[in-house]
Amino acid sequence: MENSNQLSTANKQHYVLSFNGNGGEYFGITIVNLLLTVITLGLYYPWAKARQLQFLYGSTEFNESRFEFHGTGAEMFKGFLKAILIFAIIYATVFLFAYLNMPFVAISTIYLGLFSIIPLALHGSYKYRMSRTSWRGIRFGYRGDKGELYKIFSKGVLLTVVTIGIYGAWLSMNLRNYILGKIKFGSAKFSYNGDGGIYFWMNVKGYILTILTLGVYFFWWQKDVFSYYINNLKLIHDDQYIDFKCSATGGEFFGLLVVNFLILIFTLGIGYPWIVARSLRFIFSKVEITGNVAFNNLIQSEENYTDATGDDMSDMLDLGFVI
Amino acid sequence: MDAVFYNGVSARPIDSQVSLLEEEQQLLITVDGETPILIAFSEIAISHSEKEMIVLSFGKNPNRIVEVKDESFRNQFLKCNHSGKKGITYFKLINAGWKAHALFALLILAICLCTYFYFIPFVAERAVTILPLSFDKKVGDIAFEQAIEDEEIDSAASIIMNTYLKSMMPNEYSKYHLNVVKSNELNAFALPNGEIVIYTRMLKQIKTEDELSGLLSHEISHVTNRHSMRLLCKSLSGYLLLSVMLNDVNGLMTMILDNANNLQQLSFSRGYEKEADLSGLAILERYKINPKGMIHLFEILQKENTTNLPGFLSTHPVTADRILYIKNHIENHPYAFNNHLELTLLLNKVKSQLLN
Repeated sequence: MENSNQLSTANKQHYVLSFNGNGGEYFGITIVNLLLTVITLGLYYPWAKARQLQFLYGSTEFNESRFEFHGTGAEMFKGFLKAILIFAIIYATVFLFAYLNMPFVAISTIYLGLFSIIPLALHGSYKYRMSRTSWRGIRFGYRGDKGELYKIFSKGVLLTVVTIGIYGAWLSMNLRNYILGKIKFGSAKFSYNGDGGIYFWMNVKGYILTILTLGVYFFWWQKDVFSYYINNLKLIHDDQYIDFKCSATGGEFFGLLVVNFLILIFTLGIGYPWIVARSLRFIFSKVEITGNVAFNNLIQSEENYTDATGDDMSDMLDLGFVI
Repeated sequence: MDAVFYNGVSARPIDSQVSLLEEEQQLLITVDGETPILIAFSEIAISHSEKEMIVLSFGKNPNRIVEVKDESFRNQFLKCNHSGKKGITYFKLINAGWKAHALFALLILAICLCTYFYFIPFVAERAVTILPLSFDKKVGDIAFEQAIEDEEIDSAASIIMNTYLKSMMPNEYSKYHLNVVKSNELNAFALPNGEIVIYTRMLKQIKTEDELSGLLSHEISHVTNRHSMRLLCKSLSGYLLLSVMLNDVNGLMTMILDNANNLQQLSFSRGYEKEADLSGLAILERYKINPKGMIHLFEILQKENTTNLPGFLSTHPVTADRILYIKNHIENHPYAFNNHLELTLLLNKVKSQLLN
């Protein structure tokens, strides 16, 4: 935002983001993955995960070209083993202290271990995922600094504890501002400009109204949060940029989630792939992208990064992804 | 075939032509004014495949990409690619159509059901060895208390019966204890702690000491083969799986103890009954007792089958098949047996006691 005045606004155009996969195709992928995972007693899981991401990225189209996911099962399997090792070391240390009759030290180790792992997992996860994502062969990349992330994270967690959770909204926005601001798309870069205060009051309002309306407002609250994530995002390339804007309404969110729920119930869960496909189709179609970036001029600038340890740690911690 | 090529350096789309060289297992990419690119199928990864489109990628740095929007090209590429590498087999599976996928779904369901209903119980039954033998006693004690709660024990007859057992199998009798229960049911059962319960009606129906020895050897075999424990583990297999995964054998033992009360309501499978029959015959052979007694015993039980039978016999009736395999076994394993006068005397004694 701060330098938006210098950015050229000439030749504004619309870009289309869409999800082209259908539930039937995704069902096939899910079933084949499940079958291979079952008959290999779970060993196929990293490969299944890679294939699934490949399909979801490949079905997503931006400006008439598909995204590509280049991660492989082998990379994720190696990452999985390393992640297991790291967790095993933490657990072993905890048990050692417990065995030595030092329960206080043991509990501190758990918290300290988790505390130090989360930024590491986030960092590694972004580095890996971004490097393995490309569009027209141009890789994304994450250029964040581990030390910076630790600083933001530890300051945020401390203040969140002190303020009994209130600072959580600021922590969440600070992380988002930092991480998304360090994401490169070839020679272009993202920027996110979220404000903890606005985010906090949005959630307070959403929470209170959801209770007052016996849950009905929940969908409008979700829409507000989602819009806030999208609307403050920007992609900048040289002096050109594009803006993202969410045009979904609370009513549409309500329709989406209720129908998803009904599909899940009446198909006994088999309809899950269709739910994923229609949700992605909905979300992407509701993101309006305008600006003047000439995407043909993007240049490859990011390195390959094949260590999936952080990604697997995030998977195990169920951290999810900021984007 | 028209395609769009990305050179891995810039995002600018480059119009190109692709063709499949099936013989050479290579893909040829030509761009106007540049040297054509020949790339082996084994080097090509499928980045994305959907109905009317395939995206291929190759090379690490630069990573180059070809996008072909044509259904027949996609199918042709999957069909003639025999490299077996870079997920080709996988995409052939994905491409197999919805009928195949529905079949896969059924297959997965079948695997899950088989695992749940057959494999886990199968493993659970064998996992009984992780439980100490002393635990059988605990379970048996609880079940025994429950079983005789409302029953009247004929203690005089029980004493005679225990003497009978001692002279029948002098080396092994000490692990078992017989209880005669006054009842009109034709029944007998053994518990994992070695307590064996025989109903008076059963004793009255029995004519010879060989028949009684056959019955006792059968019941004792249920205990030595830990049938009750195996059955409990099998019926609690879901829980057993969980406790093995969590390395919580104590939790499993608690769960079994909680279910010990139901022990009598569980009925043994034919497999267990056969095992008990055959181990029973081995006991009879060890102590040189006439094995024909077991046949006579089952003939008595079979006769009763026609009338309404309560208890365990009704769920696992004595079949002609069962008598047949015992007969066969006896014919194939002939041995010399003795007359056991002391057993005859003790049987008569217990029978006269019952008349009192």
